[in-house]
Amino acid sequence: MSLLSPEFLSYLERLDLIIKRSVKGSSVGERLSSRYGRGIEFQDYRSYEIGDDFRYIDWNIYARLDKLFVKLFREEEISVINILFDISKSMGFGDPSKIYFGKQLSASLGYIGLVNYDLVNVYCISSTLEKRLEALRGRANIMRLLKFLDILEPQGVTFLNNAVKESLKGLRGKAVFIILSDFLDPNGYEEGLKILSARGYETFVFHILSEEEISPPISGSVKLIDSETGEVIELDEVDDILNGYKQTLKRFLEEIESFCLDHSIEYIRASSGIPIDRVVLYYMRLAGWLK
Amino acid sequence: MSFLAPIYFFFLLAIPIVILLYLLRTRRQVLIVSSTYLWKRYTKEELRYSVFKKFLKDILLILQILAIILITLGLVKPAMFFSVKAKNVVFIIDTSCSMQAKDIKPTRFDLARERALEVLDSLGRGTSISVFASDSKTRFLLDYTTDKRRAKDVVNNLYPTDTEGNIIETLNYIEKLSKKPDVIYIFTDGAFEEDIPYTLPIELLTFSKDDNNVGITGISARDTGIKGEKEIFIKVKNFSKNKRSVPLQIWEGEKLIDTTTLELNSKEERVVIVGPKRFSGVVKAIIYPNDLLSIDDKAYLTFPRVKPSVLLVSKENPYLEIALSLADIGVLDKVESFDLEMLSKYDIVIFDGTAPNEILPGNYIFIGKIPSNMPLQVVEVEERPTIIRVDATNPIMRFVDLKDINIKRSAVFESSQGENLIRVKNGSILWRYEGNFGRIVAFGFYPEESSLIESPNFPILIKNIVDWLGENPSPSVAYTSNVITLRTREMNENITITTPYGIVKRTTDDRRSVSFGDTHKVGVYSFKSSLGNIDVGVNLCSFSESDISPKVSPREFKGDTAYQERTILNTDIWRFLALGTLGIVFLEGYLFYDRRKVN
Repeated sequence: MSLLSPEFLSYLERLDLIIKRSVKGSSVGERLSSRYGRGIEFQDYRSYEIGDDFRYIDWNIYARLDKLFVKLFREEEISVINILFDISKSMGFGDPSKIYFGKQLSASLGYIGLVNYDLVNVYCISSTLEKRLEALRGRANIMRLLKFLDILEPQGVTFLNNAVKESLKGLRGKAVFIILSDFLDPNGYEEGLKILSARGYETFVFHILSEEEISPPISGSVKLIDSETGEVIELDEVDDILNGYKQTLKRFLEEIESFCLDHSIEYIRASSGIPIDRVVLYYMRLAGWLK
Repeated sequence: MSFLAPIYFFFLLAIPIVILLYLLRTRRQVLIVSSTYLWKRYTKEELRYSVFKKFLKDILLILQILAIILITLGLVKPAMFFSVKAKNVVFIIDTSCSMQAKDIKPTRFDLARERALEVLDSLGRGTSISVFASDSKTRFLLDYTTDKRRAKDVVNNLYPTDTEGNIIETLNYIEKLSKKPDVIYIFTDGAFEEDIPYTLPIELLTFSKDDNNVGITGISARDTGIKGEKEIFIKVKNFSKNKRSVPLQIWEGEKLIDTTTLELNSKEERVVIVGPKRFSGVVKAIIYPNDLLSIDDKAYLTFPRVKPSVLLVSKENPYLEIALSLADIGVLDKVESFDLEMLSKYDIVIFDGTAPNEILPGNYIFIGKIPSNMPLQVVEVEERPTIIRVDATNPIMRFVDLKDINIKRSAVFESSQGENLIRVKNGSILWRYEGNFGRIVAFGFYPEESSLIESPNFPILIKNIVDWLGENPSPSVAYTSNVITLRTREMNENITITTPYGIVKRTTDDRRSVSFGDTHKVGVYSFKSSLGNIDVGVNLCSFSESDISPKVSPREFKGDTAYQERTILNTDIWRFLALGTLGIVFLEGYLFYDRRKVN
């Protein structure tokens, strides 16, 4: 419970993930579908056709109009929410760390899914699928989710494309994908996101940045060691090139945002320094992710 | 490329030291970051978008290394040489008088010499260099040599003379040399009339600017024939383009005897006549034109002593003594027997009825008898000879009338030398000679055995003879580069010559004469010998030298061959390298300050 405060959880209980596409899973759930089917909420009538279930014929109308009409109900379906959480070593940086921020986000979104009786899967990814917690449903599973997230430590090298492909193995039906990552992947992110978009999954991308990546607190001549790969880059007079770095970062962020827009992927980015309640309760609602 | 002082390459060791210091200075702070992905992407983009920024990053180090390289280059004295085809280079340096003109400071000659040394410096190794000085003479100073230092020494020791120039003669001389030059450098002021031929590979470098000059172009004396008085003619010409007012002074020894101011239009020449007067010693004409050439502002004339000393060797001859007393004689001594030691004390020795067996050079009158070593033979003794012809044009026979003169007997002379003053049928009875023996007048007859002795013509004849013998045979005026020949009484006699440039010693040859040709300075040359002091005035008096206006233009040799080895970086480049280094240091300072200001 250290990730999220009870007060914040109480706020989350009132929220729901806005899913625009059909996400029909293998079983019936509590989320109303746009399709007609079995359910309890009346939606419309239509003329009887051979093969229709007699149980749905409205006999009252038949008595008045001497015509057979069947009642149509809005189908209630279950949503599968897959949270792909990047736990590579690069996520261990920042204050608070990006992985901590990601844990809070995962917990928040997972809790929202559980509260709304969605099927929640959490996949921890780096170069591949590192850990997973699957088939959580109902608020009773919140403690399992929190415990799972609490013990996560940064590990491995980011390879987003590979991890996405891994997570898709054995997945049937429609699902929602929420990707939490810093996207600092030299192999790129485009292929993985394209696959998700092409298969029709509703995808949400949350880009987590740390303050030290937005505005590196370094000066003079430095030798930078990559936390994931151990690669070294030597820079002189960093003060002179910080503006250039910031321009590069800006271009990088714009590229991701533009890519997501082009592929109908929801995109939000935030610094790990922003309080989680403000991110969830304000930014996500503002972006139309939650209602 | 070669280096004249390669030892200084050790200075390049400063480069690794600077790099080491640079590396020490830039010790990096080690930081572990989440990912270097963005930094790598940034450096790639920077490299792509701004190569110059990347370069600028290390520009301070590059500038420091560049400064060290420049300093090293300056120290090692680099030189780059091209191969050369032409090898034989001749330098002709005009040392004529006009090169002393001061229109170029300090003089035309000084600048020409300086330029010649520069050209010498620029010549490549292996080039054969020959040096000529050209004035009135062609002076072959240095045969072809590759020793550039020696050539420079020769050029450095050159000085201008007060003589006329003759570049063409020097070129003719060079043309006749067996080793043909590939290029001839001529350093001159171009103040000569003849054009330089285009057939030779000549590069003509001229040094002149102005033509402002007034000079004495001639000085001479004319005998008026009256009491030994003479007139001096002085020619002064204005060579400049403007009218000039020129003061002229005439000095006889230390005494100013005449002064005037000449108003001379452009290119006007004026003749000033001084006298008639009996001049003696050194007469000097000076003008004060305030012009560019001072050598031609003075001219000298020297006159022999006026009254000669005479020794009469005779038993008894009152007629002759009376005649001599009427002549212009300083000292007249009479002896009956002659001693050679007496010779040096007298200007003229008269042998009357006697003669030594042999004579030394001197001034003599022989009456009746002659020495055996004279270039004169007695062919016969004629009784009552008939005078056929008298050389009335000779100064000795001036105003002498020999009509109705009877001569009782006379020896008849015959000679291939000298002049026959009174001719008879088979020869001469009065003979005059001027040559190695000095001046001699020989009488074939005794005057007392003729009617001449009673005639007034006799003292006139004696006076004329004494006047002629009394004149110093040395020239009273000479011009620079003339050879002055002087006869003395003895062989191997030491002659001291006081010249305008110092004292010179000479020795007479076996013909008892001395020739002196080093008359390259204007002034009075004083010869001290057994004959006493003889002064000779040496003058420039040259139209071509006083007219200092340039008449030929510079000419560049455009031969097919690159005769000159180009030194790309010579020893003087260190100044520019030092300047460049200083510039780099300033630039480095500016960049460093600018960088700190930005931070």
